[in-house]
Amino acid sequence: MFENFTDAFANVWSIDTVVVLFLGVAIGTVVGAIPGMTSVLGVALALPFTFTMSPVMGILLLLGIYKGGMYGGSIAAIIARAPGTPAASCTILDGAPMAQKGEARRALEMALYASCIADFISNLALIVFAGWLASLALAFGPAEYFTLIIFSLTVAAGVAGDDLLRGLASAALGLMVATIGLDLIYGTERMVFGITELMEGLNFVPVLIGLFAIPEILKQFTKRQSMAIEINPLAGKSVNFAEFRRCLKTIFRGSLIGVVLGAIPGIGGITAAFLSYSEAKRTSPNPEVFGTGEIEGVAAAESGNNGTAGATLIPLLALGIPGDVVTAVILGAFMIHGLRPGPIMFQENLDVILALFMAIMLSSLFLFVVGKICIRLFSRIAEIPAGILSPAILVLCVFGVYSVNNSTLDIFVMVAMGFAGYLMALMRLPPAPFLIAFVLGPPFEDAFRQSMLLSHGSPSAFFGSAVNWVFWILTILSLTMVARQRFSSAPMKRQSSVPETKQE
Amino acid sequence: MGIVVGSAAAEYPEKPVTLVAAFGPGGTSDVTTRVLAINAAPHLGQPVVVVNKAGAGGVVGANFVHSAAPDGYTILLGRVATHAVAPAVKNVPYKFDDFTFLGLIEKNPFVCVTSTDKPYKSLADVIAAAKASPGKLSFGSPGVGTLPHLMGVMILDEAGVSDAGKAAVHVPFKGEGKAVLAILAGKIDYMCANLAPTIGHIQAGRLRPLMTTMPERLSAIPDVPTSRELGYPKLEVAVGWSAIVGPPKMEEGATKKWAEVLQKLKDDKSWISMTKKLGSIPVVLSPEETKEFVTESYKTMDALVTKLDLRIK
Repeated sequence: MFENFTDAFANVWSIDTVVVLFLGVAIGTVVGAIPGMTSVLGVALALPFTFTMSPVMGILLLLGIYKGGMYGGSIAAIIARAPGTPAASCTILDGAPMAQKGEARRALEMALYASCIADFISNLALIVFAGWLASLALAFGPAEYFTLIIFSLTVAAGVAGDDLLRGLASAALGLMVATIGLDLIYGTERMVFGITELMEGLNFVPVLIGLFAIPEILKQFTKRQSMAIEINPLAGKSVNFAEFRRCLKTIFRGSLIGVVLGAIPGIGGITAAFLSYSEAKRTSPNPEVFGTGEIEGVAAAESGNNGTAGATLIPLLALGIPGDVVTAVILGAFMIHGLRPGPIMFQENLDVILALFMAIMLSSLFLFVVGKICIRLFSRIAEIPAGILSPAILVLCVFGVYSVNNSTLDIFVMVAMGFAGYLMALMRLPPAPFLIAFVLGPPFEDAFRQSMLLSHGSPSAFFGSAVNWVFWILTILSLTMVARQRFSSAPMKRQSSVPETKQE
Repeated sequence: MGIVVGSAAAEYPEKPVTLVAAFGPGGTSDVTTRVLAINAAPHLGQPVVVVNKAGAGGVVGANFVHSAAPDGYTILLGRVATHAVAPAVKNVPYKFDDFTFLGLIEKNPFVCVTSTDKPYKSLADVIAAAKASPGKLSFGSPGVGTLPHLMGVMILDEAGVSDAGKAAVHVPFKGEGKAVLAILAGKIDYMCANLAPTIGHIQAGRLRPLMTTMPERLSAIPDVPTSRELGYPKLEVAVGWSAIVGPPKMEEGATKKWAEVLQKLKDDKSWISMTKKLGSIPVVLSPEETKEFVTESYKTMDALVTKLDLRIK
């Protein structure tokens, strides 16, 4: 054991390794900050370079990019209202309104603090609880996924805005778009219209960019005169200590949500961010300020998604199972070096694991340093007039969306979703429920049908384990809370929905 | 003029070559493509750029290369999925043999496993259980119409289980990782998968290997019987492979150059070692042998799909 420690120590504390990790975090942050370009692209491009590095160094480069990308997404979300990475779409809800109020600096700083703390907690959880959390992942069969997703879907109600009906309509649209493609169980074509590219369904990134970034750009073109609002991140106030303390509870809660959801393969940062956001809103003394530029909303979203960044390595290292695309690329890097993540690796390559654990703690610190520098650099962007900035963002969006899968269809999807998003904005349909339904719809259906296959059609599958019951109880609690909040503010809501029915 | 054209063709490649990966970043297929790209470039004399064109189980990428210019600058890492399984199982916009075959590079051994928590000690136990109570067992796969899906049915069919398509419930998962998780958690009874994602769990004693599908036993798990030893030599078709293919009627200069590159790659220690680390077996075949091999692979899948009525309508 001691030998392993000294080996690991020697592995990490070489100047090359530290530089590579720092470089990774910096590359990831920049890639994440560009709308449409995600950490997936970053790690895929960096993968061949790791072939010739030492295993620890190569994996740290990829991990750095992953972590940087997870944070970097918030920069574009706040400054340009475009989710830099899918997981940052929740950050837009309060980050973008803050920027419009001239409080971009506070939003960016809070996003950075929340990200670093959540990343640190997530790393700590990886090191201390990897074994225990891995067994949690093993307790998740299709039926458990199903109940987890049911619970997560109730979150959509939490971000529906002040009008539940509009929220549900938006979620229904999201579910509809999510059905495009081949169904998992029998491979039946749904709304494919003979286009081979559509068989896989619509990609995440073009839909997200279309939904959030494009309507904003369209809006700026339609009312250019009114867009003279100054967004200067370095003007404006910094986060003060009182604010930070107020958000600390939210950050810790978000980190924990991120850790648990990160440890379960395939759930990911988007769900964690929204769940954390919805919890913060529910427990807040003034939930009505969420969505209008509430700093706690930014803290909740960013702690939720960064909370997954260390925990996704739990199923990867302990079980050899990648939870998302980035960890799948990292798995590839392990294998190229003859390392097989999984239980065996903890016995045979403990020095590598320990080296990774040591270095990973360093990554939270690097994230802080890189973030501080980036906030300064990216603040320059905000000085560019909207008339020049908007087209530039549009170009970046097109480029980023294309780069995901080198598909021109994705660009069309983005544009189409952009107009759909613009129409939704005109009809005051909130985009967040659409997004949650789009993300969770397919796994919801898959998990349901897999469970039914396994139980030979008996619904008892959904009540078979303790995990199921936990999520059923959480679902009921969550729905009761929503109902209670709705009834207490019902008169106001009815008034607002009257003119809408006339339009339709 | 003729000389100019001749020398121009001999100079292939004049610019970087695009190697299309038909699957998204991170999977075995993607990593194999990147390993090939980085190792083939020095022999080729030009960089090899990997471009991911994922979708529809590899069909999107294969179709892209199928309709690309046959100048040798756009080629594909063809897989058992793109050139044997998918064309047999569903309608694809290309014919499996309407490509220029440049060479097979590797085979991916398959292993059939069960969880060590399950009562099945051997493949015979699984087959007996399927016979005793048809429709009770379940098996997993990374998707409908994939090789592990066909394998799950084929095992039972080869063993003489009547109505093999319905004797066990097929539960598809989104990707190999999720399917492996399900078998680790004991949610499904058996699964045939690539060796790479399962070997760690086999060595850790969580998964029990029942059978491999290569003609010889695998050095990583030497105690596990082959399908031939168990009396099912036909199951040997269940093996993954990768081959470099180009658009139909690819220019001769480019075709020749790639045949040369592959001959050099065959002895390239760096490529061999990386391929082995990925759990694959380096096997380089000539263009003619490759075409034969792929045709055989497709025909077996097609016959199986027809017999068991597994075609997706």
